[in-house]
Parts: sequence; C-alpha cells; structure tokens
Amino acid sequence: MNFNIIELEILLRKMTVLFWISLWKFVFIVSIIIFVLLFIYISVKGFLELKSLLKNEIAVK
Amino acid sequence: MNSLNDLILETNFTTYDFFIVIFYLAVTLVVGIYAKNKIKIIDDFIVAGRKIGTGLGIASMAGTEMGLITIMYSAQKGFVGGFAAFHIALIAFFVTLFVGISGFIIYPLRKTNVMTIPEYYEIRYGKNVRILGAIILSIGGILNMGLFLKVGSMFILGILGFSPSGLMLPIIMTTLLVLALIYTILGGMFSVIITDYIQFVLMSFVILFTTYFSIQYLGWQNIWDTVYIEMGEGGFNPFLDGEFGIEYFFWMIITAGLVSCAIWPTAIARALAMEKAEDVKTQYKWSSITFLIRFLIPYFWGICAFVYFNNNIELGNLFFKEVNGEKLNNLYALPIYLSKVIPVGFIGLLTAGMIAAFMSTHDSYLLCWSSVITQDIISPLRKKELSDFNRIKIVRIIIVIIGLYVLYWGLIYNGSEDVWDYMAITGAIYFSGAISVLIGGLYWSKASQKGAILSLLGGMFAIFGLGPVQDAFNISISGTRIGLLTIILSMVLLVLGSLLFPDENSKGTKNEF
Repeated sequence: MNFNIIELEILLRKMTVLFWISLWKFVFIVSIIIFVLLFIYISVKGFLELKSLLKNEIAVK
Repeated sequence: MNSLNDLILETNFTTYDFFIVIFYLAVTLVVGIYAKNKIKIIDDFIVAGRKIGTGLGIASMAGTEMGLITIMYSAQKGFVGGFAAFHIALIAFFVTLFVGISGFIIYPLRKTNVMTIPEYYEIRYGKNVRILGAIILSIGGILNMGLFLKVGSMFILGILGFSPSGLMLPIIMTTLLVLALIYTILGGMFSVIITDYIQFVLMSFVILFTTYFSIQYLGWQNIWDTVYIEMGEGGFNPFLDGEFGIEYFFWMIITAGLVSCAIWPTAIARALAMEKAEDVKTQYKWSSITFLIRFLIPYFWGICAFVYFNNNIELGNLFFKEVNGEKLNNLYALPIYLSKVIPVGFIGLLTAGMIAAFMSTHDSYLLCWSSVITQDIISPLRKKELSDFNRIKIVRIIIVIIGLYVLYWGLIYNGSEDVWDYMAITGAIYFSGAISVLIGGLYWSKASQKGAILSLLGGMFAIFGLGPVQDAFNISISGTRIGLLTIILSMVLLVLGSLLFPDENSKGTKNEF
C-alpha cells in the first residue's frame, strides 16, 4: 500500500464529503420522522385544548 | 425568451385548485370571526394567550413562524447553498433546545409578567429606554417586513404561472395587501390562536406531501448526485468559504438560533403568553423541532428546485444563464418548480396553506408593530392617557400605513442580497442592542439606563449591512461581518455605559429569580 500525499488528500476530501452527505441524510430522515410524530401529538393535544378552551370560556359567559 | 415565458406559463394549478384556495380562506375567516364573537375572555390577545396550554402554544408558535416568507427565503438559501444550508436548521434546533432546557432569557422574562419587551425595558431601565427601545424595534421590525409582500406575491405569481415581467406582480401585491388588511381587521388578534392551530395542521400536511412528491419526482439519489456534481463539496460543507463559512456559522448561531427563538418579539410573544413560567421551557423544548423543520424542509425544496432546473436544460436557462445581461430572480425557482411537480388538487391545498401562512404572518407582524408604536411610543409620550377606543383607532390607522409602506418598499427596494440576509441585517438593527439590553437586564445587576441607551443606539449601526446603504456610503463589508461587529459594539457599549454611568438606585432584577 503506497500512498503519496496527493492520494491522501483526495481520500481525505472524499471522506469529508462522505461525512457531510451522511450527516445531512441522517438529519433529514430523523427530522421527518420526529416531525410526523410531533404533528400527530400536537394536532390531537392542541385540538383537545382548543375544545376545552372554547367550552370553558363559553360556559363562563 | 418568449419560449421560456411559455414554459413558465405551464402550471398544474387548475380551476379545482382555485376553488380549494377560496374554500380554505373562507373557512379560516369564518372560524376566525366565530372565535372573535364567542370567546369574550379574549379581550386582549396576550391575556388570552395566558390561558393556553403547551399543545396550542407549540401549534401557535409553529403557525406563526412557519410563514410563506420563511419558506421562500429558506428555499432560496437551499437553491444557492445546497445541503450545506442544513447547518442553519441544525443551529436553530440546538439553540432553541438549549433555551428550552436552560430557560435562558425566556424563563426570567416570563416571570416578570411583562407583556412586551419594551414594557420590560421600562420596568428594568425606565421610561426613556422603553420609548427608545420601541422606536428602534419599530424601525428594525418594519424594515424587516418590507419585502414580505413582494416575496409572497412572487410565490403566488410563480405558482399560478404568470410571467414575472409586466404588471401582474404589483397587481398581486395590491390584492394580497388588501386581503391581509381585511383579514387583520376582521379576524384580528382575537382569533389568532385558532387560525394558527388550523394553519399548523394544514402546513404540516403540506410539508409532508410536498416533500414526498419532490422525492418521488426527482429520485432520492438523483437529488444528492446532482448537488454533488454541480456544487461539489461546497454543496455539503458549511465551513467552506463561498456561500457560508465560519463567520456565517457564528452569525447564524445568533440570528437563526438565539434571536429567532428568544429575542424576536413575535416569538417572545408566544413565550410570554404561556399560562405558567415552567410551561415556557416545555414549549421551547418541543418547538425546537418545529424550528428545525421550518428551515430544513424549505431548504430541501429549494435544493429540489435546483436539481429540477439543472436536470431540465430549457428551464434551467431561466436561472443559470444570463439573457440580455439578466437572470431570473432565483426566488421564483421554488414556485415555478412546485407548479410543475405537485399534482392537481394538492397544489390547491399547497397554495391555500401558503396564502394562509402569508396572512397569518402579516396579521401577527402588522399587529405587533402597530401595537408597539401605539402602546410603547405614542401612549407614553402623551400627557393624557389614551382611551381604549382611541388606542384601537390608532392601531388600525398604523396598520394601514405600514401596509402601504410594505407595498411601496416591495416595489422600490433593489438590494442584491438574499432575502434571508436582508432580514437578518434589518432585524439586527433591533436585536443587536436588544440582546445586550435583555441579557444585561436579566443577568447583570449593574446594567444601567445609560448603558442600555448607548447599547440600543449602537445596534443601529447594523443598517450599514444593507446593500443600498453600502452603495450610498461607498463601503464594501459583508453584512455578516457588520452584523457580528454591531453585536460586539452593543455589548461593549452596555458594559462601558453601565460602569461609567451607573444608576443611582439600581433596579437590578437578577436577585429576583
């Protein structure tokens, strides 16, 4: 295995790009999954809170 | 150029989509008016806010912050910066999470029971600082929303398939402005919470299906490959000089991170609206995900638009090749791309969601700045107290004036910077001083009135970051550098001013918490 400096530089550059691509793919996929879960949770929780807010305030009236 | 214009005119938007848009806007308006009439306890938006729990709080924060302007400027960053722009979303996530875990700024601020930031200035530093802070806040805030109308109209123009040249842009701008003013006055502050919730649900749905259709149309691997071929490492590595770089990274920690969640008045308003101070932390921890998504997904759409136009040579010429020394403004890339990729029916939902997002952001911002001018500038300057009737009248007049200004500014402003960078710099006029004055006031008992005044005035230097101002003074320094230097200047002025001119009776709030 004979590496010269130029080959090492190319390898390092490729590794760097690979690192960033992997990182952004991971961030994107995980974000979408978390967002779907948050969307379901907040939609339901928000709806219940909104219902109770409307009911209570109208009852106060 | 004519054949290119013909290509732009081809859109998936049909009459069905038009009716979906009208139906959704009508439903939102009816719900808003219903809420206004029914919920009498919401006499005041902020008081009403203090009745809301974490679910509605997060939905409301996301509904306001996930506006059309956010989507447009973020997509533009994705279009020019590629996946490297994702670092901004990641910064927004981590900083908001940090604020949520530590309660930095928002927790002690909520405990003071103030309703606005200038009100806090008065409690901590005195009336003069409140008025000065409100004036600077208004200047920065109104300049900041100066391009909202134009950018929102560009989206509608692009998705409907109208030609960017000609009179359609001013016509759409005027129509949208009239709609926004009617929406603000009819729905007003009373119904913001409910409309924000509806918008959160619709926008979340829109985000998911638009992302799905984009990946399905372009191909997952093709998206990454095209960015690599066209942009190289710069399309992924945010630390490379070019579109971003180290300096930009730090600038984003402040603007997209700290300011977006803990300094900017419309975000702070949601924090100050929570029922309990403890809930604010929970709200921020959860909202960190929406802060991540609101940047990340539009960046991805912008990248998809970039890939689409690179894969389509004829249309790509619109943005990548100069015709008569000009290229089409890359803000049009997202709407033109969406108009060709999103299928009938869905594109109607998408447009409805975007127009609602536009209305919601305008609604919140118009009310925010007009209330600041009325409550924190006009009212304290008058010797006699204003009646509620007169206050509302003044607020409404100012809303119309700001609306007209936004129309005028959108038509005349010709800065060359990206919209996001324009917003960061105009926002910096306010937040450079506000960061120091708020943090100093909350955590440093020696922060004094004179130090706060100097710091707020120092923040105004950020205006030199704007392209037209630089042209007028014949200087050429990046907006990022000017923004960072202005923040440092404001901090130094607060410290020096406070040490050289201490208050006679310190009103330090540090020990209260």
